[in-house]
Amino acid sequence: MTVESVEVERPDRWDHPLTEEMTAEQLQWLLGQHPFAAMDGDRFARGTPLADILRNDSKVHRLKAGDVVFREGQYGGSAYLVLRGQVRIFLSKLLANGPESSRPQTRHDWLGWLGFGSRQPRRAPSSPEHDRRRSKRSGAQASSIDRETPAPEIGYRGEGSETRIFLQDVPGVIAQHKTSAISPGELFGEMAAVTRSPREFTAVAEAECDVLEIRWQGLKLLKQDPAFRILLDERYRSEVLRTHLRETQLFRFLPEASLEQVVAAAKFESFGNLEWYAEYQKRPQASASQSIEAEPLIAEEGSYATGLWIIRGGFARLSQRQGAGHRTLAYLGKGQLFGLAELWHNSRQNRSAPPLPFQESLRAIGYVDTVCVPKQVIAEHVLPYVRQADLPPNIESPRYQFGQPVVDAPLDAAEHNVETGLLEFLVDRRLMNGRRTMVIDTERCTRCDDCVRACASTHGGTPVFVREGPQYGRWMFAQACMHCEDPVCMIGCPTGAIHRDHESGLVQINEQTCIGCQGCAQSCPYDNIRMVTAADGHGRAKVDQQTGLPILQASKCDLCSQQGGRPACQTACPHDALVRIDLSELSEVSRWMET
Amino acid sequence: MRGKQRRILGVTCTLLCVALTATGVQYCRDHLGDESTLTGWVLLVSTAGLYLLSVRKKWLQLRLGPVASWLQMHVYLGSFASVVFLMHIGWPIRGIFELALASCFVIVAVSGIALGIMSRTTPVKLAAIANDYPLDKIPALQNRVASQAHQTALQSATFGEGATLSEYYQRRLLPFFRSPRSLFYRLMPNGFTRRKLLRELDDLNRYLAEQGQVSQQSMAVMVKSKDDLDYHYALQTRLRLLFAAHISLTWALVLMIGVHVVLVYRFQGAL
Ligand code: SF4
Repeated sequence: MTVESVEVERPDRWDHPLTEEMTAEQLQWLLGQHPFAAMDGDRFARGTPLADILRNDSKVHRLKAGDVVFREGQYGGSAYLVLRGQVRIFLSKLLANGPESSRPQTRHDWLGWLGFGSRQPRRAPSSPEHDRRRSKRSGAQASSIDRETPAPEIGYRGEGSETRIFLQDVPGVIAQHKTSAISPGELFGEMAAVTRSPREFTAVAEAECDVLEIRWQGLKLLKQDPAFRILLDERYRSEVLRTHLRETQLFRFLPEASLEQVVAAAKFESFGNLEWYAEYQKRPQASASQSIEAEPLIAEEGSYATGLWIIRGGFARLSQRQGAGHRTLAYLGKGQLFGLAELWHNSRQNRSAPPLPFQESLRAIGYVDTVCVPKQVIAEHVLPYVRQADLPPNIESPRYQFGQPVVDAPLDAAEHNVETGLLEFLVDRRLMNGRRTMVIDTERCTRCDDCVRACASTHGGTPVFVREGPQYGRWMFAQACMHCEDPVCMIGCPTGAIHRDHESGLVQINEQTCIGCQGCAQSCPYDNIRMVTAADGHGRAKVDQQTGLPILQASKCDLCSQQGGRPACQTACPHDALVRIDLSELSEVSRWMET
Repeated sequence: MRGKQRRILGVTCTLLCVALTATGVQYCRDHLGDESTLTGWVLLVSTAGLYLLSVRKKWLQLRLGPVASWLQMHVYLGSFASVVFLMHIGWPIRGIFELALASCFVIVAVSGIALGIMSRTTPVKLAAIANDYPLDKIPALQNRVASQAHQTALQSATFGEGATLSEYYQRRLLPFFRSPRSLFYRLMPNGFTRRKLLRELDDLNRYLAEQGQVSQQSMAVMVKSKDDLDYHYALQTRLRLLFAAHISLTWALVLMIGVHVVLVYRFQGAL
């Protein structure tokens, strides 16, 4: 059988610039602006000169007063630089769950009642980050803000992809919220772009202004300039800390002065290797105990409880020594705390009693960003303002006490019903990174391959997952894109073709801008991205007109996002053997185990 | 709705429908109506409803709930249709065509029940094997194990203890590794051969020196792997074949039902 092919030019990283509208004059003008004017052109690689970076990876937005640059909770792969005018970032919650949530839903729930309805919302694929952030903010502060301040009135400007949401009464809204101003020459929104996480705040043009959007790939290239790199790192540190602490439930009733004390005393610390996936792929076979011991230690059980650790990004393993090895108790993700129980216990002890050391160890899985707040600051500025409901339960029978022998805990003692073996398995294989992991119950799966066929029929005849993968007991973790919490596949993409959908947070590949460099496929630690021959609109294989070699393109599960609702694989499974679940939340894993 | 609630609802609805049809039949009998026309039409409609599962599978993009829910509906509707079928047929069945139609219906129903049972039991049996093997990869894996076993047997012939293991391989294991399993095994996969071969291999131990024993152990591992692969292959193909038979017979059933309806109405002079 011969496959029809068509000769095309091999795609290049800048075939699809961020905007086609950048004129030579505009570029010249941009090069004269801060911080580009101060950049040393010689610092840039010959293939990626400064002018080309700006021409291809940036776009000037002319904004009117009230225009929303981005919304809290959205995903975005771009940073913004104010060129003219002023932008306001809203530090308190401004738009509840995105303006779309106010639009009427048309779903007929009687179908759901009969068990026929999709469990996901009908509108667009559901947004895991929205849900998660809602639950994290479900405390009194978030709701009081929502209750006390009326939702701002919004409108829509422009058409198609250029449609913008704008606030009707900017001064009024600013007066009701905690905001901070961003002036010309200042950068904002780079944190979400760098960390591949959702936006922490909403940014709105205060008056008419010009803002330069720089996509993440361009930002990476601009870091070739040392001064820009330093600027970026500093901003990243200061911006992250404030927003992060404000987001943490424990600090929600803190008076402003106390929060400032916490900010001043908090220390950023990162553990592990940012590009952990490269090491992970090459890792030698080691025993569970050896691999746990090889993980960077953040805090060790039995040592002084010197502060409160807040996980800011990545995952950490909570473990306890058991016999000659270590037992995983849980994994902690963004926003989770370590050491609070010990600090709370110690703050209530009388001064003569010896303080309780850490009862568990915390280790970095791959790479973890943390904030550590010293114990004195916690005792003085935080604990007095924490509601009883937010405090951990008492440590009734501590395992570690200075001067006393350590007794192993019974193996069945755990706060959740997830078996330790499964926990270890998820962590060792880094599967806890998955937000939409395909899990197949092999005791229900008849191996009929209806799921594979359904996937193929929704993706032009070729399935984008493999019904194989690591197995723990009856559960198979199939090789389908997991739409990770931290999608490391995105790090190396030179064109931004692999990106997160703004609203849903799903990791998607833009076929137009994928140049087939294989960066994502090689860096995916789970081998869930495959390179396939690119085809034109008539199904003909694309070949390079110079070399005659096929042109490749990355392909992976997109969760059937074009169709909305459940992915085809899950819909098609006649035996309810296949689910897509969020393994990054231990509570969800626990719930799933119960069903 | 939880699984248990859904099951209760399904069973209740099925029983209600059966009761309703039985009441209808009784009414017809009491009022000298044509009860077989009533049951015939009920049977026709419910049989047509059974095909909705195939339609749903074809049109996955429609937001009509998961196929699993449709399969459940198919099972309840199938049970209902089977009861109505018993009400509909007259006994004894007269005529070859009518007999063929009734047999076809029974075979479809029985294969459906068998499918229902096997799709519950087979996954559990498959999951009991340490590794999962996709059907299309099994032949290649079987070949690989067979080649490895061959290599091991050849190597063992060069060891001091002579050709004990290789001779045994030639006589007993080569057919096991190289030829497909018997029809009986494919219908009823079992562990007889596996256990027998492992026992025989174990018995060879006393004739083998240290290196030979290592080869014997790896040969035992390969026997287990090959048997696991055969087991997976047999179970998976058995289920798929049964499914294919169920589907093809349903289409034969459609044709026969069509002819039956035409014949009945011609006989009554309505056509
Ligand atoms: S459709 Fe369901 S039962 Fe069939 S192979 Fe896929 S997961 Fe297994």
